[in-house]
Amino acid sequence: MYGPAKAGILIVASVVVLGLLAPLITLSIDLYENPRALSYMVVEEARVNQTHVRASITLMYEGRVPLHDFTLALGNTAVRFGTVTPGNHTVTLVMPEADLKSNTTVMKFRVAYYTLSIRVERGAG
Amino acid sequence: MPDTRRIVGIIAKGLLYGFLLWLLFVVILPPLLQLLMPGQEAIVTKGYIYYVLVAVALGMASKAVEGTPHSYAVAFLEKLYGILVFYKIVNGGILQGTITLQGERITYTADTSALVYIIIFFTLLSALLDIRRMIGEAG
Repeated sequence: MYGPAKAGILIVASVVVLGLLAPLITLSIDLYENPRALSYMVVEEARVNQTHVRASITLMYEGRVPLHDFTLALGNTAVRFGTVTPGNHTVTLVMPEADLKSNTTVMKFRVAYYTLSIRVERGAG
Repeated sequence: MPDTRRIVGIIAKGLLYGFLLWLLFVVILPPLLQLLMPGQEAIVTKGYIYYVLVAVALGMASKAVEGTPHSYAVAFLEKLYGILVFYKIVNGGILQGTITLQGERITYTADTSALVYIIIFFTLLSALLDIRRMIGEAG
């Protein structure tokens, strides 16, 4: 009785764990094969006043797994993209010019049940 | 003579468990973590000797009570210990690392705790079966 029960637990556990790991593995493969699969571009469109500018931020994503609750932080300005699917996603906003030139970018998002955060500091290496 | 053989068996099983854990902590895990998550800090390799010693003790206890209802209790303890070691290895599912690429320092954090808790749940389920079996055989 116990042998089959244990085997059953092992089989169910293996299937569940593999299913849970699949999105994370898929994203890792996508980013490994193409490091530019997740990138962004900032274009300054117009100056609003002495400190603020209007800018459009385009997020380019070529992965196969949707990224949920995607937030891109440039300096102190957080830009929310929501659910990001493959393709280009553009957000236009008014933001401090200092944030536009910030050397630090933080990307936060959720892949299935996992929360990921990537912080990029330019000129730090 | 059979006593000597039994004692040697107990020690051998303990050492085998210790060897397996040494393989895991020192030989397999550090390069694997580096491969999967570049820049990942070595989480367990510093104090691995203590984990190995506990595994040796549990392995010996397991061999000493082999064939008795107590063996299921030891099997339960081994699984609990496995859960604790696993939790420590994966830092509760919070994986962090830093890499430098073309003048950019990239720091990543991945919260995979959901997966860790699922694995712990199934291990506990299996451990509870050991306890159920022990109670069944004792009664």
